[in-house]
Amino acid sequence: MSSTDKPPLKLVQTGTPSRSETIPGANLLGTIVLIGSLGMLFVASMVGYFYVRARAVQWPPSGMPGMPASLWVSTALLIACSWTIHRAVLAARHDRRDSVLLHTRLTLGLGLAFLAAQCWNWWELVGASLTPQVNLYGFTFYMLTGLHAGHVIGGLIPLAIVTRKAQAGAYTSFESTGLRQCALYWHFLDAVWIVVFLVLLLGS
Amino acid sequence: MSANHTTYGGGTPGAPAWEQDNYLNHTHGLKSWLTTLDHKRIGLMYLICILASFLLGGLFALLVRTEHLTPGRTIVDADLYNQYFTLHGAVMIFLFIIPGIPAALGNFVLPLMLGAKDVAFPRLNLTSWYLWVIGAIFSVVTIALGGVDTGWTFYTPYSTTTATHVIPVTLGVFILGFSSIFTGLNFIVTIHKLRPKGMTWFKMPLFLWAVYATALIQVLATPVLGITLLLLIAERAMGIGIFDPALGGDPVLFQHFFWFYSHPAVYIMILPAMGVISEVIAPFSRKTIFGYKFIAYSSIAIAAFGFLVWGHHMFTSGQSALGNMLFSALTFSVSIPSAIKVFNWLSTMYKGSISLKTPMLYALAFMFLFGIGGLTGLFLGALAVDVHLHDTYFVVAHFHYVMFGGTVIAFLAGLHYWWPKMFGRMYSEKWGAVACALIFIGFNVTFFTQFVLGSQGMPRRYYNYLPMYTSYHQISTVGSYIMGLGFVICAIYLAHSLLAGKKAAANPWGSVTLEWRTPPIPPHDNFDKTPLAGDPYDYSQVRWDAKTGGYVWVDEQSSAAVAG
Repeated sequence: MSSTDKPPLKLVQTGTPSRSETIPGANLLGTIVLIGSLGMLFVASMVGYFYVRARAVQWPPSGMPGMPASLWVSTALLIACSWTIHRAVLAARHDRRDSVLLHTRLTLGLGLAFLAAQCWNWWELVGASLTPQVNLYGFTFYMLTGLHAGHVIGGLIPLAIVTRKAQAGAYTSFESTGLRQCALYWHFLDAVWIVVFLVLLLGS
Repeated sequence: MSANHTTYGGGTPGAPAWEQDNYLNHTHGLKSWLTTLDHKRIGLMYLICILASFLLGGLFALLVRTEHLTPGRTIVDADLYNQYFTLHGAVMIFLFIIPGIPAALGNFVLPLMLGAKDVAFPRLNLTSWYLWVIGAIFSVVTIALGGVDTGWTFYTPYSTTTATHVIPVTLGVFILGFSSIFTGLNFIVTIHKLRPKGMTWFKMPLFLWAVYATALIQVLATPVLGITLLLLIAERAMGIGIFDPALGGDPVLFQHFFWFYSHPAVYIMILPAMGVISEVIAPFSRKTIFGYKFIAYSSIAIAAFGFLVWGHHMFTSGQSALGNMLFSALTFSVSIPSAIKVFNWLSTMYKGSISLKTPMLYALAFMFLFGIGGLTGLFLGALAVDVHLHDTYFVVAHFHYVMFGGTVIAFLAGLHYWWPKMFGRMYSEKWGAVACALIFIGFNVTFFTQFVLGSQGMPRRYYNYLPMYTSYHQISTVGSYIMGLGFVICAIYLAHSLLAGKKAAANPWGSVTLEWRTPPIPPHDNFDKTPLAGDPYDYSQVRWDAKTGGYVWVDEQSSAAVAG
């Protein structure tokens, strides 16, 4: 189906549209505002990290393990997430329904893999005796990565919903707001992670 | 068709305006209210909650003031006193004043002012209300468990070590933060996307500019409070040490985090109040608002500058001299946009035809009281003076003048202004004036005295005090009782108006913003079709109609006359 053949209606009616769905651009603007708000949360947490780091006599404190190398793996997985969901959005724009489904599924899988990689990282550090309570070096690491992971977990829910809707063919060149909202959020998670990652890397 | 029935309203033509289907009687039963998506019902539910919180916070205040009638013990011991002032602050700030005008009045008025049927995200709106309720439940549970005594600012190290119930109350505040963020998000998108044709940004009523600027702060500042409270909880629960010098942390970090939110929070409190004042001054002066663009831009300027001055709460915390100077200079500059607004309101009144109805009485009170409050902020912003005044009653007086004399008075102005639209009833102007006078006099007796107390050295939050301060404290307490009486009278005549008040016309005050285009009580759907937005402050669009006891739109008069 070429992109010039615009269907007159949504291909699939997934229930009555909510009020905001009838206001052009409202849902996307809402997502952008939400991302701005969450961004402030992460900025504040990083300021906290820098404050603590600047006051520290030695960082990392002696005897503490460095940042696990598998953080690079997490980073690669999350960047891949951004890539796959971007491809999903492009596919929707060209009405390639199967591609939309494939890429949202891939994003879901990569998101879960990211969480698994993070769990592995935490496990490694706990194994090296670095827990949140040991010292501020440990606490700030777990705080930054934990805060981010919490938002990834939260993001999996809309991603799962979007994947199910993609299966029903809900995202077309005519209407793909929900998918684009989800993509924006995942790009945000990726951007936050890259900053956290660089902060942790440069910080130690 | 009665002349009171506007062409934009819903309901049955021909029926008396107040018996028509409206948002209050559209559906019945508690469940229809608890699951409503109607912004007007949500606003009303917020209003009830906000007023209940004000009562609770006010009772704590009266307990604090009563304890201060004599030095040493008057009614309670020191530990209980500490809880009273903490809970007074926490309840008033987090449950009443921050949600306050945006949630209770803004929710009701915003879509109507935009000629819209509802906000952009009605379900999110209801969610915000439920989050408020859950936050309130946490606070009530904290009180029931035995309270908290850290002061509403929860400063470390005391808040990390006290045995009182810090975690439940901070969790409650954390949840309330989400309520605030979601409301802000809703209003931002609503104002961006639901303005009607003809209502460009600079043709919006100024209340919308005010609420928009407030929403920006709510969305950007509240997350910082979130992280602050999470860190406090982690410190208490896990013994982390981020605020503990022995473990490499810093108690002043808490203050930075806390005030980075809590200073912008005071602009969340005052900006909507200023928006209400703009909406009241103009119609009650029968004159278009003076300096519209200045007022609009100053709202945004206050929101922006408000993020830059948090350090003025920490002048004596050991900040660098350079930091102190920067914060002091920025604090002086943030007063300028507020002053610009006051000058514009005064200019609006100049050569206007002033109508001293109750909303206007409160608006005038606002100018005086906020003027004092704002000016005394400058005293505190001056570094050398602040060293002497920090943590004294001078500060207490200052912030009560701006928060109470500013926001609460403006809230009352807005409540009395929009009351006929919300309930279709008028209240007694005589008793309105009496209550306003009592509140005004009582407020000044209570808090002006505290400026004197503070400059003479009486510290805040102290249970005991030197005998030299006794007569000031007693005067202040008497003032609080006078204020309390004023509020009781206000509650009585407002309740009476609901039961037996004169039925209101659709536009009793002769305002020309779009919410006045609905029937006396708006119908469920607000408008059949989106009204055309005119100049929100051009009073030639209406004229007084003695037959209905209200103002009618000049453009509809001829059709109403033809219809009979």
